[in-house]
Amino acid sequence: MELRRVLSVVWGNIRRNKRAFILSSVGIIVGVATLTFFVALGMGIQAGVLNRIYPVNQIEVEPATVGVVGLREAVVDPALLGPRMVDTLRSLPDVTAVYPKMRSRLQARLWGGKTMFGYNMRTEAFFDGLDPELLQEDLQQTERVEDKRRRAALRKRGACKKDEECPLGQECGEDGLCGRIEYWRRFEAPSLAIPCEEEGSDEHCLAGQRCLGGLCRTPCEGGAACDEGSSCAPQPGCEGEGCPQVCLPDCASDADCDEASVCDALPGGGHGCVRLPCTVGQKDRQYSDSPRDLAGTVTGRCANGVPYGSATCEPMTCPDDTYCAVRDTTVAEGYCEKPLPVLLNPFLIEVFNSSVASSLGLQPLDGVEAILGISFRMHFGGSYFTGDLAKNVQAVKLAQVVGFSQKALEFGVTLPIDTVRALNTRYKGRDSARTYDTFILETEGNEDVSALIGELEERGLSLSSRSQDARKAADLLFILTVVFSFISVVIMGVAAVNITHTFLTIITERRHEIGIMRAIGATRADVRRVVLVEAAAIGVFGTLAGTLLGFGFSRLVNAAAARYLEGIPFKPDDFFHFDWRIFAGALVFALIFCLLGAFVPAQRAASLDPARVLVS
Amino acid sequence: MIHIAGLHKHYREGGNDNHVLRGVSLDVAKGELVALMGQSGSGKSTLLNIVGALDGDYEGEVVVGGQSLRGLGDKARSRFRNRTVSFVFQQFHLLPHLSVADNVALPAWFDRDERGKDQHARAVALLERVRLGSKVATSPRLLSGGEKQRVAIARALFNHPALLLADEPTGALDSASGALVLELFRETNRQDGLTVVIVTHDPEVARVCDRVIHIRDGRIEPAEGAPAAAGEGA
Repeated sequence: MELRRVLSVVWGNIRRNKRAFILSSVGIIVGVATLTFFVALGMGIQAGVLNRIYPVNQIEVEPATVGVVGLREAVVDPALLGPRMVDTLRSLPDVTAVYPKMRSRLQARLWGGKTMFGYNMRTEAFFDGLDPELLQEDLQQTERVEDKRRRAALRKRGACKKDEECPLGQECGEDGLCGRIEYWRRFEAPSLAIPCEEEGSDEHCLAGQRCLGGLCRTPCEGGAACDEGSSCAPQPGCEGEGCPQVCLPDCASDADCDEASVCDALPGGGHGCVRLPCTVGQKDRQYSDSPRDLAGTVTGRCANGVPYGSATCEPMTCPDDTYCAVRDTTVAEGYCEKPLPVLLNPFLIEVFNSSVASSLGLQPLDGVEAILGISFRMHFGGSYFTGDLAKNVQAVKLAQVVGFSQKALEFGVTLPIDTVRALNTRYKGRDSARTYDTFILETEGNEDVSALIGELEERGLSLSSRSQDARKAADLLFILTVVFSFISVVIMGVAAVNITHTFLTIITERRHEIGIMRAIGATRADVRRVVLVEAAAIGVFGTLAGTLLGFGFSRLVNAAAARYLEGIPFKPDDFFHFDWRIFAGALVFALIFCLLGAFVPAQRAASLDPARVLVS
Repeated sequence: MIHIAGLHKHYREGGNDNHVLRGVSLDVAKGELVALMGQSGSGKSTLLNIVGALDGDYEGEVVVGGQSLRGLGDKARSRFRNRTVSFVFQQFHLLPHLSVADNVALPAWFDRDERGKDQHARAVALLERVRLGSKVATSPRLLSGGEKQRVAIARALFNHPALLLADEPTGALDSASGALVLELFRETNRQDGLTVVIVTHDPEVARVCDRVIHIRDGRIEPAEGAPAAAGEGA
């Protein structure tokens, strides 16, 4: 019997017995609605909540610790937690990328937000460092998604020479046209003038540098060669005999140097990039919120090129995109520097919006991009929690939010790892900056990382509490989804029993029709097929109606959540994630139960004796 | 067309053995129009079901159209019912949710060789032949008893069977409708050379048939003038 004929018979049967068809479908509809609702809820919470708090395919490991008299102590030698550990972790199976993290080893505080909130918010600053190269793609993607969400794509691009000629939020590109500021490009370690106190010592300078003239510099005396692209020259600012030789980047013009340096002729011939020394006039001005105060005045040169100190000398401020970073809090002098680029974790914004904003009477932020590009101040060596360091080592620096990443510190800020290394070295010595604190591992899949965790444990590493929480939360969610899916399967099981009962009745009613079909050539298989296809039709109808019901109910839940759960952190716009796999799964389950339910009636129909039913 | 020898049939229910057919032997030639008469419970419908391969549980030999029905599987029996024989029942047994034309073409649904052929046109032609050309798209629910039976006859003729088996075809009809139905049987028998076996109580039906076979208590009664042993089997 052709399928279209079977379908024709089934369609006729359904039309005649609409009530029985709908009653048989009710259980399947409820089962499918329950299944799709809870599986979509599980997937939605996984994607919309869990993955935002605990990114999928990402685990963070740290040195394993043991409890010692109430405190925890690492069981692995910190010396092993350097670059070699990164290489080792990268070579592990399933690991696709390793992001070493270095935490700050010094106290700091921060303040800022006056332009947004009307006053500066102040807090202790916790920070860590990540490798910018590893984050570029991530940051770029996040920024583009935010742009797209805002529908703020540029339609017209004006010609420009300087950033000031472009509208707010735009910068003058290399092509001479105003373009959207791409903040993600700014997440790279700026060249910092790291001050030092012990002249000649390398203890508080990065590898290859030494304290020369109060700053960490790369020496080249005694035949030590400079790296390619830099030349040996007397230390800038040092005059007379006996000035130490240092490596300076080669240049032909200012464009070859970073924004905070200029290309100067060197005493021994050639040109090199020299930092611009500056002053803010009075030491207290380094705390100022005024951009003019922070721009400072460059010392040793004039804006109009005349000799410094001459009557016609026009004062020169630090170049665009830089400010005068004062050496420490006891002086007013320093060097022009770019602001520290900072990443925030979107979690911070969620917490701010859900808890902090209302407590402080502030407006919640409309998305992360609202604070993209805003500046704030970081005060290194100062603390609200512990004591301050000596005033002559405390430093106040300008920082700018340049991006958002799930890999950034949840309660704090993330800087380029070289910046953190330089600051740790400056304040706590070289040894403190040789090792990493945690490693973020990206894996192929998140389904089974047990083997990987085993390997990590052998190396003295363990999952960070955050990753452990992630696994627990994911496991709990999985169990809940399975439990509710099981309940829906039980509902479908009951529906199958109902289908059996209804079909047995229907077959008794239709025995003459079955008899005549057999009399004119239908095989037992034909009869069985008609019954099973009719049951399958219930499965298809039940799946469609059940999915619609589940979907409709999910919209109601979303609407209720939007109304009653305002202010809950990580509350997604949609708690549900529907995709074709849920529909396919529900359809398979519904068909299985419908066919199981119809199996006995189908057998009974096929075994009806046509001779008997036609004469009865 | 039909050769039956030593046919026995038992119904065993609740420990009782009801011996319905007791050694029936019978031959029907191709193109014959035969009436099978007997009282209720004499076994005539049972005999018809066995000849039509609706009932395969019997003892003896049954050959229809040169094909022995013994030991046929479900598929082969179904194919036999679809291609070789066809039935007309007292209660018509039309499918109420199909149109009249679809009911007529129903046998083609179970015939793989019929795929793609113009079944509807054939059904319409057959309906015209049974004087129901105006009822092609009508529901069987709206037909009179006589009309329903004529649809059933059209359905029985659809797959060009060699043998038509009718069980009390006029039993539920008034005399005018019954006469029309009988006329159709006669017509198909004469024009198409179709072998027709009609089970009936009705002497009017028997009158239009070539031969009347009487069955009593599961045995064929000898024809008038024939030796008594003709109806006795082994």
